[in-house]
Amino acid sequence: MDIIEQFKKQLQGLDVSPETEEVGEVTEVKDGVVKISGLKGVENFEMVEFDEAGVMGLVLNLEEYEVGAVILGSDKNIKEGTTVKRTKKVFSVPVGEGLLGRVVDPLGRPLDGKGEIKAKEHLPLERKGPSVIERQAVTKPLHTGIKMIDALIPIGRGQRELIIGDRGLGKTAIALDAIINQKNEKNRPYCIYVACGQKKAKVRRLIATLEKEGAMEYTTVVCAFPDDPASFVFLAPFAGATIGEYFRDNKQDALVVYDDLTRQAWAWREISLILRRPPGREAYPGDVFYLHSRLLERAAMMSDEMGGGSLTALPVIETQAGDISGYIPTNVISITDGQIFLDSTLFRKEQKPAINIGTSVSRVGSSAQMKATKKVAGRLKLDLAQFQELERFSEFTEELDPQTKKTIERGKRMRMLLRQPDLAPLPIEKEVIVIFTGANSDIEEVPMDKIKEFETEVVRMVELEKPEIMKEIRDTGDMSDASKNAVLEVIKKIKKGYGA
Amino acid sequence: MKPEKEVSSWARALYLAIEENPGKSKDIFANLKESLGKKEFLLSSILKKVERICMKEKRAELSLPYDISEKEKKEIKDKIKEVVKGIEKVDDVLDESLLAGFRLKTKDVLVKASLKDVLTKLKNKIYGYN
Repeated sequence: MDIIEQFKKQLQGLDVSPETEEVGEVTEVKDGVVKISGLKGVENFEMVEFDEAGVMGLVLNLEEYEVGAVILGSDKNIKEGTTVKRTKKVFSVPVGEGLLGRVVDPLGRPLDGKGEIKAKEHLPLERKGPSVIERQAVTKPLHTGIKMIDALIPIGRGQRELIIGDRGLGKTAIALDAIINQKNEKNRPYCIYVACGQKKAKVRRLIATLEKEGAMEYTTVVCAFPDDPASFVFLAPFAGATIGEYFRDNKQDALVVYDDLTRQAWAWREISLILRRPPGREAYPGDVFYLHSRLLERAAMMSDEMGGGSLTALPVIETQAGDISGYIPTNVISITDGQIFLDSTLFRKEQKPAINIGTSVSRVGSSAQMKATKKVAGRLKLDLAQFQELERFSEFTEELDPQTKKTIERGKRMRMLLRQPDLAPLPIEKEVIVIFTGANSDIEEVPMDKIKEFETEVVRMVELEKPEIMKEIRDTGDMSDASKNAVLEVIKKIKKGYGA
Repeated sequence: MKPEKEVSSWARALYLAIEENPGKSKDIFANLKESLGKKEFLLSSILKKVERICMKEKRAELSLPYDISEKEKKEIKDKIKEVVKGIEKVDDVLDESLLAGFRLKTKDVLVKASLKDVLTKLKNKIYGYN
C-alpha cells in the first residue's frame, strides 16, 4: 500500500479542531506530594500530568480549594506555578503474558533493559475484589515444595497466607521456594513477585536466582526500591495484584508475593502525614487496615461460572523482636487465611525453615491438600506437638519410660526430616514419600546423624525401583494401599543398611 | 489551626463574599474585622492573600508564536475579556514553538489552538499513543 494511503488510514477520524483542557497550578511541593489549585472537575485516583516536567501524578486528596496528589517520578522539575493537566484516566498498568519474564516498576515500565513491553490490555490499579457469589471455596492445593508447609500448613489456590517473622529468618526464601516449585506443578500458576521497598542488591540476587532456576519464564517482578518515591512503594503491591488479576479473570491461576507489606504501610503513613491526614495509632492513618484489606481481598478462587481462575496471595510482614502483637502484624493476621510464623529461636537451633508449628496455621486446612498428603500427614501435627511437650518435660527428668523415650527419639528424627535447605523445593510426590517414611516407619531405629542420608536414599530407591508410585501420586494425587506396602518394603530394605 | 492555613481560609472566604456581593464590600470588611477579634493582626496578610487570589483568578495568559502589533493585541485581549467570564487582565507571552495559532490559559482551562498541538495530536495518533 502507498505510504500516503497508510497515513490517511491511520489518521482517519482524527479531530484537529482546538480543544480545551482542565488545568491547575502547583501551589506546594513537599517530599513527593503536591498541592494543586484549580482542577475543579478532577476525580479521586485520576492521573494528572505535570506540564514540562514530563512526570505524572496521582490524585489522592480532594479538598475544598485544593487537590493533593503524589508525584510518580522525580519532583526535580516541579515547582510552584507548574501547570498540571487532567488526563481523565484512572491509574492503570499493562497486563498479560507480555509481562512474564520481565522486571517492571509499579507503573508497568520495564527496568530490565529488554525493550518495550508488548501488552494489549491495561487494567486499573484499584479494583474491587470479587463478590461472594463470584467466589468458591478454596480446595485446590498450591504446593510450595517445602515439606513442613505442604504437610502441616497447606496453602490452597486463592488463599491468602501470611509469612511473618523477624528480619533475616527466611521469609523471602519461603516465597522464593514457592515460586521456584511451581515449575514442577501440573497446572502451573503464573507468579508475580512484588519487591516493595527491598534493597536493589537483594532484588538483583533474587532475579538472578529465579533466572538460574528457570522460574523467570513464568514470573513477573514488580520493583519499588527504597530510593524511589514513597508513592511507588505504596502502589507496587496494587500493581502486582492487577497483573495477577488478569490471569485470575482469564481462567488461569496466579500466585502473588507481596514482599513486604510493612514497608507499604510505612510509605502510606509517610504520604498520609504529608497530605495532613489525621494520624492514629503509631502515626498510621485511619485507613491503614483498609489499605491491606482491599489489596488482599482481591485474592480469590473464582467460581466455575466465572472461569475457575485463582489468585493466591503470600503477603510478607516483618516483625520486631518476634512481636506479632504489633499494629500492622495483627491487622494483616486478621485479614489473611492463616500465617507461617518464623521463629528466631528455632533459626538459632539450625531448624530451617524456622517455622514455628504451634503459632503457624492455615485456616483452609486439609481441604486444600491432595489425598495422598492428607493421608500421610494426618497425625503429623499432633505427633509433633506431643513430642515438643515431652521434650520440654524430659529436660527436667532423667528417668523416662521406654514409650516416652521412643516418642522423643522419633520426634527428633521427624524434625530432622522436615529440615530443608533454601532453594531446594521438593516435588510433591517426593514430599509424600518423605513424610510417609517419617510417619509410618520406625525411624527411631535409624541413627540421628544418618537421618538425612536415609531420607535421600529412600527417595532415590523409590524413584529407581518403583517409579510407578511416584507417577501415581503425581497423576492421581493419591497413594493406594498396595503402593504404601511397596514403599514400606523399600524402607525396610534400606533400614537394614543402617543397622536397624 | 496554623496561622497560614487560617489566613488562606479567611482570604478565600473574603474573596468569594466580595465576588458574590460586590456592592456590600464595606459591610463585609466590617464583619471580617469583628469576626477576627483578637486576631485582627492577620488582616493585612489576609488582604495580601486576597489580592493574590484575584490576580490568579482574573488573569489569563495568551501565548502567541510571533509578535503582533499593539493594536491587534488589544483587539484580541478585548475579545477574550468579552468571551471568557471574569477575566480582567490578559498577559501575552511569545512562544515560537507553537508555530501558528495560539494558546490561552486561565486558572482552570487551557485552550489549545496552535499548530504545535495539531502536530502533536497527529504524531500520537500515528504512534498509537493514547
